[in-house]
Amino acid sequence: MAQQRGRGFSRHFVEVMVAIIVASIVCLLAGPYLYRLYRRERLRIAAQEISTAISASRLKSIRLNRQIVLQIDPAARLALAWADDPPFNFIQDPGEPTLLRFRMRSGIFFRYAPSGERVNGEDSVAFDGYNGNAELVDRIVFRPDGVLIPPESPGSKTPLRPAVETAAVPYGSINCNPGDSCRGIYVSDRPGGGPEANRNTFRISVNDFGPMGRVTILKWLPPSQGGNPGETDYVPPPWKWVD
Amino acid sequence: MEERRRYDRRTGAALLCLVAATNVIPWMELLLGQTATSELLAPSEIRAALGTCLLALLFLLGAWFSGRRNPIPERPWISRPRTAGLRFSVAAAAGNLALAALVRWLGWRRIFGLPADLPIFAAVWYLVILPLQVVAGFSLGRAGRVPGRRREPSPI
Repeated sequence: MAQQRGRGFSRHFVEVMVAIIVASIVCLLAGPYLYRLYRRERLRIAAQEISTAISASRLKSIRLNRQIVLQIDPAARLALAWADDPPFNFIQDPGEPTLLRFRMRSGIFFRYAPSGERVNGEDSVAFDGYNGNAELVDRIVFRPDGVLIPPESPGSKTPLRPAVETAAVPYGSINCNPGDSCRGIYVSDRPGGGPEANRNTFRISVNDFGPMGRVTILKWLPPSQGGNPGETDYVPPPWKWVD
Repeated sequence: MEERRRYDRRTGAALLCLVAATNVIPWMELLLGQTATSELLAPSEIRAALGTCLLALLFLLGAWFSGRRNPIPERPWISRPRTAGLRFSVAAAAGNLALAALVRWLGWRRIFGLPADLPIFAAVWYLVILPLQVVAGFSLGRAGRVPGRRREPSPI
């Protein structure tokens, strides 16, 4: 009787162990997939949030018929928008209420690709220089009709179209060369740099090819993945990821 | 005899692991494929994929337990459970890998999009792969009780 009970216990034990082993193997395999998915989604969500803030600012400018300034502080991870009143100094003065304020998620890095300055460097939020004042940096300004006031800094130029459109660099892509100096907000999933850096970088911008151009989210395409030689291409979806 | 039974149980457990592990691959490839677009993944899509993997695991283990616990009828519908378990497991694993490869290939060619094609993918998986797995799990459970023919160890 005791032997039979012992055999029953042993059988249960084996079954439970098999179930645990099978479940553990499933978790072991699913873990890396889920981590990759989490990293990609975190970056995509950050890019979408910035894009939404830009769109909201533009809509506010049209709706309120006022000049709106959206300032991005990469170090504090803070986005702040306000209605700029005369004399239109692009600075939030007392009496200019905040219209939008949100803190960006952690785990992403503001950095230009491929070979930008350090994280949170000058070129990470390239909407710099207004009214001849080089101190006015990291802000997107919309006129009351929703048109972007172009930044004046040499590092915040309008992007070029790619020399050749290919399957990897389709219509809607931009080329930030020469000088790696086009305007945009650049967010990346890793802090490292270099032309073949093992990272994913998005560029969020507006008015790339016209005064009422839409807000775009483009992803850096390294030359090794099909980017045009000699260009710094940012492309629309479908995107290739570096894991 | 006991040694044979243990051997079959170990083989069965390894094949269960193979089937359960390959279940994850096509569903995760489907989710990862969606990150190539600008549309964010909906929580329901993530829940559907993860829930399906969990459900498949429960079905597989349930079928295995059922094969081990249920009494063997006079004329069993699976006459050689060990061979059947092996074949169905390999078929289910191969089906999963083939589906994952298809999702990847179609994703590269921009034919596939998760919101539009999730029902087609889910239908194929639920109607083909899941039944294969259940039969495989049941056969493997049964094989732990009815050992297959194997050469006797050499007396030397």
